[in-house]
Order: sequence, then structure tokens, then C-alpha cells
Amino acid sequence: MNEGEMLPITGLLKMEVRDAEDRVVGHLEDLSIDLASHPAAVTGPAVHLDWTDRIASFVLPRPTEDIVLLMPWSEVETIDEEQIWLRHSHPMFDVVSSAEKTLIRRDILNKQIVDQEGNRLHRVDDVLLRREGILLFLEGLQVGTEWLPAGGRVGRLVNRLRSRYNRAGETNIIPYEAILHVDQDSLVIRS
Amino acid sequence: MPGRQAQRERRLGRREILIFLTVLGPGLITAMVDNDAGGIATYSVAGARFGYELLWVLVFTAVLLIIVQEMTVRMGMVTGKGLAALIRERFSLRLTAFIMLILLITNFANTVSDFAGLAASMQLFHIPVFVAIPPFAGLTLWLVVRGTYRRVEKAFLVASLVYIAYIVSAVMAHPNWGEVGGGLATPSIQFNPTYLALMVTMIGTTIAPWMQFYQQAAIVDKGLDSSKIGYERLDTIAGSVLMTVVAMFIVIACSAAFFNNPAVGATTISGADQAAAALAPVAGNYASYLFAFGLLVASLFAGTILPLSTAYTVCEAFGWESGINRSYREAPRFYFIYTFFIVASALLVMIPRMPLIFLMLVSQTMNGILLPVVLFCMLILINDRDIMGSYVNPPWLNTIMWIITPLLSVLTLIMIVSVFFPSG
Repeated sequence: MNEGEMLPITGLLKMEVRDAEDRVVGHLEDLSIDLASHPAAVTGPAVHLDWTDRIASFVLPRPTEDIVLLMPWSEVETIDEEQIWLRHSHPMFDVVSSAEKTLIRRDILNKQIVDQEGNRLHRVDDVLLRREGILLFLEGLQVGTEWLPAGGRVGRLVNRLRSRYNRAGETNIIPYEAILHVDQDSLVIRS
Repeated sequence: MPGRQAQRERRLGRREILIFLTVLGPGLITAMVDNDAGGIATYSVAGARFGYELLWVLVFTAVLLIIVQEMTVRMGMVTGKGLAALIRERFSLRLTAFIMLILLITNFANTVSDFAGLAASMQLFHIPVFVAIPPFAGLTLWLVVRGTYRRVEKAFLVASLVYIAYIVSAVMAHPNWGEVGGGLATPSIQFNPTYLALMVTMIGTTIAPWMQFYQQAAIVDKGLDSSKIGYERLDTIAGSVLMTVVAMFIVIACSAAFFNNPAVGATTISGADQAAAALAPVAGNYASYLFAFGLLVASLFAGTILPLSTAYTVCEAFGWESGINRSYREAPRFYFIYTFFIVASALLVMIPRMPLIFLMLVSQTMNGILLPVVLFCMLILINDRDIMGSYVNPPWLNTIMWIITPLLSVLTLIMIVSVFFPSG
């Protein structure tokens, strides 16, 4: 992965997660993000562990399979095209609560985008992240694909938003600054 | 006191009936549209070739239909989202796009066959295709482009009454009711390819993927929530039962015109228009005209609903503005899909020597490919507690569904094979 490279979330999901001893411990299920920060930073990976017998310092009565734990980004040692390495050895990972957190896959990907008047515009086809060192930042929301471009009213709105936030290049990406808030059923953007 | 209690119960009864009437619509319309030109043709062929022998299949199919549609009711009312949206959110854009592509092809071919049914029925009234099709295409466009959901739904509910035409036609043909009862209550399987193919086609025609998408979208569009789930279940059951009753009477009428008519006997016919014409000598001209009128309204009804269902589903899958309460400017893609379906179908039907049978085969095949995919998606969705909360399937229903879904998949596979390699 190169510095400043754009990474679509659909390409990152399901990638292998390895612990400090290079053992595969599960796969990437989701990423939490802080939409209030500028730029909007990815704050942690949600890792689907194959099994665990503890959550932070709490030892479970018996080992459990198929559990998803949200970790702080400080738990990430490094990341490449196919894998993420964690800082600690399984199962001694740092974990954080997912309460009040926005998760990209769960809360943003595929969600209905609406304008401030509540008009339906498009769904989020992908979420683009930008890599800076070991950190990931939200670049924007992709609308439209190669085989089904957004076009029309949505295309014009995206162009307007891109010029408002001084973005060049990709024309089907809504800059993250245009996101007003994420509701249960929709993601509201500036119009 | 008992008098007051009785009065309150009466009031409650009235209130519940009023709520039911408000909720009534999505289930009834979806089921009735299922008796479209293709469905009527299938039931006509079954009656003409095998008399009452296949009636029991309709009872079996009604039960399957209620089970499958009840799940869409629950998903729509609990989540407030259509099936396409749920599939997209739970699975992926790629799977959704694949389903939408197949659905577009299937529903378009179905719409063309409905316009062909419309043309065939008008020819029975001696009205040529070129005169009949354009006004009906215009009417379907006007109804949706200029209508509101409530108005369109009322028009469709009134249109459902026309299916009584089949009941009257069948009664006028004086069937042997004892034999009808026997055919209904006694499941019998003949191991000949035509019988089996027809049996599978009857099931495949009755449980079609567009129905799950349409009913759930209609529930969402109507703003129904889980507090009225019982009423919408009743709507679904009523629709499915009525649909089955109408289908039964089509079989009965055609059985009287062909199979049980000593002058004709078991016959292989190719369409419902032949059945309508053959009814005249058995049950009189009025019965024949009623049957043709039923085909006309059924084709018109389905020719409106199918494009509407497609437009709703595709827009929801990709997040485009939709709904007949929106203007053309607010929801351009929604209206484009609807208009394209109507205009292209009307034009195709008016082209002389157009291979409409081929289009219908394409439609049946695509339906067969899509149904298992949709049913498996539905099963995963409805058992996801994150989505459905406490409204997930109870274990007994899951057991039934895990038997039904592979069974329907195999049956539709057989249907596809029988479509391309017909025998008997």
C-alpha cells in the first residue's frame, strides 16, 4: 500500500487479521470512524475473531467462536494489501465499546443518501479511504459504478460538492465534508 | 353491564374492520395480479388437458404462497424497507445488481406477455391489435403518472372484482361439482412428462419473485408498520385464497369446454383465448365473452402492476427516488422504467410475427433462476435478529421453509428443462 493511496472499503473487508505472533486470528469485519474529526479518521478495526476466551481483562466462562470485537486503532501494528497485523498476541487485545460509534460497513456502506430536504439521491456504492502512514482517513462516498454511473441530478450534485470542497480527480466521489449526519435509515448530505 | 360489554365489543369489531379496510390492498392486489395472462393460460391448459386432476395443486400452491408472502409482510412492516434494500444492505451491490438484471428481463417479458394477452382478448371481441393496444397503453401510463398511490390502489382493488367473470363463466358451463370436489381433495400424480411439467409450471407461475418485491414495496409505500401486522397477514391470506379460487374456476371452465366435453375431449391448447372461444358452444356466448373480458382486465391489471413493481424495486435497490406520489421531475428514473416497460411492450406486441412465445419462455426461465436466489436471501434476512428483532421466523416455520425452498428450486429447474425440452 502506498502513501496517499485510495482504498475502497469493499476491498479491505474480509482481509486477514494476524496477531503479534503472525497467527491468523480472524478477519476484518468493519471499521469505526469519527465523522466529527477533520479529516475524518478511522478510529479502529472491528475484527471478527475465529475464537476467544477473553474480552480485554475479562476472562469468559468458556471460549466462544464467531465474535466481533472493536479495537482502538492503536492496536493496529501495520497494514498491507492483504493483511492487518495487531500489536498484541491473541487473545490479549485492547478492545473498546462500540456504543455511539459509527461503523463504516454497518452504518454507511449501501445506505440511502438523501439531501437536506429528504429527497432520495443514491445509495453509497463504496466508501473510499485514504492512507497516510499507518492511519486511514475517510476520503468520500462513491456513488455509481463503471457499469452504472450515477449521472443526472446526482452527478451534478456531486460535481457541485467537489468544487465546493476543492477536490479534483474522481468525479463520482462525494467529499466526506458534505456528510451532515448518519441516521438509522439514511445518510444526509449537504445539497 | 353485559349489554355495555357487548356494545363495546361491537364497536371494537367495527373499528377492526375499518382498520382492515385501510390496510387492505398490497396482499390482495399482489395475489390477484398473479392471475395474469401467463397464469390464466397455464390454468386453461391444465383444465383442457387434465380436467380436474390438477386442482389439488392449486390448494398446495396457495399454502406455499401464503407462507412466502407472509414473510415479506413481516419484513416490510418491521424494517420499513423493501426487499431490494434489505438484500443490498445485508449482502452486496453485486448480488443486488444481478437480481435486478434478472428481474428486469423477467418482468419485461411478463409485461409483453400481458400485452399479448390483452391483444388476444380484444381479438375475441373482433377489435384489431392496432386499435386496441395504444389506448390501453395510454390508460396504464395515465393511471400511474397522473395518480396518487391511494387512487391507483383503489382502481386496482375495483379491477380485482372483474375476476368474478371466471367464476360466472365456470358456473355457466355446468360442471360436475362432485368431480370438482374430488379433484380438489384428492392429490394424484400421473407420471407422464406433460402432467409433471404442467404441475410444476402451475407452482412456478403462482410463486414468482416479483410478488415478494412488489408486496413489500407496497407495504412500505403505504406506511404500514408492525402494529398492523395481523391485518396485513389477513390481507395476504384473503388475496391468496381469492387468487386460488379464481384459478380453480379457470380450470373448471376449461375442463368443461374441453376435457369434459364429449365433443372435444382432452386437448392441448396454447392459450387462454382458445379457451374463451371454446366456451361458447358449451356455456353460451355470454360465458365466452366473460372469460375473454376476464383475460382482458387481468392482462391490463398485470400490465400495469408489473412495470410498477419493477420501477419500485430497481429504484429502491440503487437508492433512486421513487413512488407514484412523486412527480416526474422528482423521480425521473422511476418513471422512465415504468414508461419504457409500457411503451416497449405495446410496440413489441404490435409488430407482426413477433416471437412472443420465445419471450414467455425467457420469462419463465429467468423466474426459475431468480426464485431460489430470492427465497434463500429472504430466509437469511428474516432470521437475522439485527434486522427482524423478535419477528424472526419461529423454528417450525424455518423447518417448513428449508423444505420448501430447495423443493421449489428443484421444481423450477424441472420447469426450465421442460420448457426447453417439451414432450407429450
